[in-house]
Amino acid sequence: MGNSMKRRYRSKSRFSVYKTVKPIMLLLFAAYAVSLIIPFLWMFISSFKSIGEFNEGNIFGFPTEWTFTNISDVMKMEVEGHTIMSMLGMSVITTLLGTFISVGLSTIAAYVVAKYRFPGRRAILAVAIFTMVVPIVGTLPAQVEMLETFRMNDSIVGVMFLYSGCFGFNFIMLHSSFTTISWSYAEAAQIDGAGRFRIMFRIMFPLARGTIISICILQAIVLWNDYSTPRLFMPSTPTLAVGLQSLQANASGQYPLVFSAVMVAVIPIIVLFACFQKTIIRNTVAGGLKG
Amino acid sequence: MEAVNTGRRYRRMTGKRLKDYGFVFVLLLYPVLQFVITWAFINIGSLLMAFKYEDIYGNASFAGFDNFIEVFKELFVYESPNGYGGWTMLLNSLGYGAVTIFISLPLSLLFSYFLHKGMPCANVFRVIFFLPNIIPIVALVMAFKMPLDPSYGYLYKMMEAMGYGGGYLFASYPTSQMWIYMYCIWAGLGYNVVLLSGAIGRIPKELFESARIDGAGYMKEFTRITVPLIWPTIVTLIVLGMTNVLTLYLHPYLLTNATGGNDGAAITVAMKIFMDTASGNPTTFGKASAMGLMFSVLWAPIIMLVRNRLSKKYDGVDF
Repeated sequence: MGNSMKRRYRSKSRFSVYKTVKPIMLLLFAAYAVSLIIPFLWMFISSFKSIGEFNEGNIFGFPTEWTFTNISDVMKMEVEGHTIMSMLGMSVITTLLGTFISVGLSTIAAYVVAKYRFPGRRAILAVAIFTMVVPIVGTLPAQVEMLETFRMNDSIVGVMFLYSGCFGFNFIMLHSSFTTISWSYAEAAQIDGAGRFRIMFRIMFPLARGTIISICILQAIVLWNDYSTPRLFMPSTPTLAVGLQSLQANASGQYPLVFSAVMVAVIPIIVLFACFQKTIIRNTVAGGLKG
Repeated sequence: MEAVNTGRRYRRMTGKRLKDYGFVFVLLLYPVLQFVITWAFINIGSLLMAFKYEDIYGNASFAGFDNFIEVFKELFVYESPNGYGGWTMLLNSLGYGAVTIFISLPLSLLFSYFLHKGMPCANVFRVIFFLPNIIPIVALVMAFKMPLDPSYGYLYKMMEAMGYGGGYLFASYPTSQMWIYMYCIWAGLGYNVVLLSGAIGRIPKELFESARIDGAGYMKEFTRITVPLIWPTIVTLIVLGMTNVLTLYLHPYLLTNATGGNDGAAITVAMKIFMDTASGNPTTFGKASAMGLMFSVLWAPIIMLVRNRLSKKYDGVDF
């Protein structure tokens, strides 16, 4: 009796400590969230101000006159010989093609390794994990030389070749998702006379749909945002992520234009993420990463 | 009769096996070839390049250990006109490891724990905290820098009002480095919180309940249940923090407007390699490769050792 009283008392006193920490944490949470949101909100609103208005000192307020021409102006604007429009096009192409190639190959490879027994299977898995964990740095010059040897330097082909490497993080995620799918679906289809390709494309891939879709979205976001690969391996056809940096460095005094370009780079991603947010959080990163 | 039957079945099995192998071969041909070619080319190439000197036309000659000696000088001897050089690159790089492991990680752990314990608007926070993971780094860097800009920034104006002026915050070392680290914490928090709260979410609820019945308080619950059960994820983040020492360059590179800071004050190991490569000047390739090789050989075993040691601490948990 006394013991249980004591226990209740103890847990109560701890509860009050928790209660004092909780508001502090809530404040921290709010501060962090605000620090993430406000800059983008500010850039968004400022992208509707005319350059003159921004430079004359209306930095923090709402635009007195909403200007909608910034976006078309910045699209036509040339930065180091390329219009932002052409960079946007390049980003769209590399993102779509790169996502298709890299996720497609990773999915096929992960499926085969997860569902078929063959010599070297364990080695492939081990290598995929090893290359993810062990950092090998300083290979960038050698990558440049490699692409030069293959005559793929400074072109989208070389970038696609680099993106087509498929034994990475996505491979591991897809592999673990395929191992959880029972083979009995395939056996049933086999009895009905379905071939290996048919089983793969028509039965197993649809069963792993959730993971495949979220990996596609995440990969598309990664490629859309990728700065280093296009910067190093196709410098004469910059993507938006690369161009944004040069625009930002070259367009001082024209901030509303820069903000419009930032919005062009950011809004598609926010929309994509908002549409698939539940699938992504359920199926991937938040689902597990262990090395 | 029976023997024939099993024989035929055996033959059919091997036929199926062979077709399986054929299927596997066709589908894995490109991925494996791509991997082997890239990996061999890059690693052997880097190794060779570290001992080579190339002139601006790309003609190579054997350099012996000259590249390594050059790297040593760069790391410990040379000084830039303003006096930060020599050790700066190494200190900056190690700083990232320290900041991610000792500041960013505990902070994210705290965030994730409270996010899981239930906060008002927890789901809204969850989505907002995901933002740094999906925004282009260039834009994220701008979002961090703009508010601190002396002429346009609202945070700077607020700081000025509180008596902290001092002009462009990224202009002088070590203030610039402090702000770069601040950025890393700010941007990294979102990533860590997503991973950690995912791991905490996978702990079975009954474990928390039974601990509560046994009279464990929040502190005990945190240290005895939450941390041990998500230990593999924590180890992964520590390992990532350690690899940061050698791989992180994009954030400081972009924060300093692609210059590497005043007189290279913000330079890191990876940034040096990246800038040497991006310059497109083959004379710097040998040195960059030598530096990469040196650090991989020195640092990778340390990372593996730490990882193995840490993994053993709470063995056999998996959430």
